[in-house]
Amino acid sequence: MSSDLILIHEADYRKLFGIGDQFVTDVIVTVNNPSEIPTVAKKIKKRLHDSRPIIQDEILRTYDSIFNWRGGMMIVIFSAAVLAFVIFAWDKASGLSAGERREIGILKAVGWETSDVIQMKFWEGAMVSLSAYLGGVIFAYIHVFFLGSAVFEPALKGWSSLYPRFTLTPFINAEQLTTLFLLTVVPYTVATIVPIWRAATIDPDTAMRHTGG
Amino acid sequence: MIELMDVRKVFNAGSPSEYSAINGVSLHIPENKVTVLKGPSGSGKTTLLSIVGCMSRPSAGRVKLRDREITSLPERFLTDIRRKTFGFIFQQPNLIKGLSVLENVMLPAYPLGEKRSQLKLKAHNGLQELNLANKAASKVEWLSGGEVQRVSIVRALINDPHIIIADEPTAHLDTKLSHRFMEIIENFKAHGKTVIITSHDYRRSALLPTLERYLVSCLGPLYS
Repeated sequence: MSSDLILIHEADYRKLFGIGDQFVTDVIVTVNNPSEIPTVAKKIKKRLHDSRPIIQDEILRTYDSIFNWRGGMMIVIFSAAVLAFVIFAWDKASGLSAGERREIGILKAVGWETSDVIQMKFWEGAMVSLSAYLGGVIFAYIHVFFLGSAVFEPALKGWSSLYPRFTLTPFINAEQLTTLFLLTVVPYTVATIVPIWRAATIDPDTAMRHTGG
Repeated sequence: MIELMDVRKVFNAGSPSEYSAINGVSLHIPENKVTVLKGPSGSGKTTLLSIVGCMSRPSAGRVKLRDREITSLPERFLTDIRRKTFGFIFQQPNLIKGLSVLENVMLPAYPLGEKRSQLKLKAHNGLQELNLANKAASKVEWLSGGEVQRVSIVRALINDPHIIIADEPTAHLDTKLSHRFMEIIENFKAHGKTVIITSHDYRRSALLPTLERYLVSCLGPLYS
């Protein structure tokens, strides 16, 4: 059915693995009184040393922990990354350094039009953000689909909590990529352009004078 | 050719730090001549040059270039005049760090849309002229003060401008290179170009024994 799952009839299974009718691999025990479940589990373990009783609540707790607090941990990491991006973009949008203002002043002084300067800086910002975006996407793709998400695997899947091991089938989600593009490349490029536009519309002499250089 | 009529320039107008850099200067700069603006440091020579070169607007007064009033022209027209008419050699070399010597020299020519190969050739020839051909690929931050100034001179000439504006051009050059620069200026004059130079050092401007001089003190009354 899939790369890690085959569905076959019980008889075929017993024949394939040579398991007699008197043996089973898994037994579901139903206990009428929920408060007695841990006691029943302990008694089973005491009588059948090779068995591993798993209570339904334990399974639920394991999956909860995998997909809740570990997911939460990833959200914290993701939030830190988003915050860093916002601070970086805000820093770009809030003003230019003395060197950048001077550079714009020089370009205008030697005959560049405001639109030339903005166009050049637009491409500069777009190249930076696009390179970062593509680099990030390619790195993430390789990391997740070819390296089995080695960095985040322990946090996401837990320590031997999920068995058998599985590998993800590579795929590209255009919607996710578009959303990521719109949330990173576009805002960063706009954040770069706004202060450039403000600086590029003043006299070149003024742009060069107020730089301390 | 260039006429300034009662030009004033006030910085930080309306604030406590308001100051007047030039105050009522009227001046005629003739065509095909070398004009030297002389005055002490802080007398407003650089401000005057920036107004003459359309890099800033006067707070009051009028500026005419070839009988055309340019004082209140929109920015894009001033840029057009700047790129087609003037070549600037700044007091501070004002090169862009991170770019090579060749890229800095080609900067004024990029907006004109000239072919890159031709542009490179022109820039290389200019660098050759001032013994900088071997520095073409170097980053400008690696150059000495004199080399930086020479790059700035080559950049000013790349578009073959009609008017060269040089603000203390020989300030960072040794005597030999100063003489070389003056030869270049003389060559410009011979080709019918107009040159405007500022200098606070009379001995430097005295390096122009054969050229016409119009010495102007920006602080006091004008004389020539």
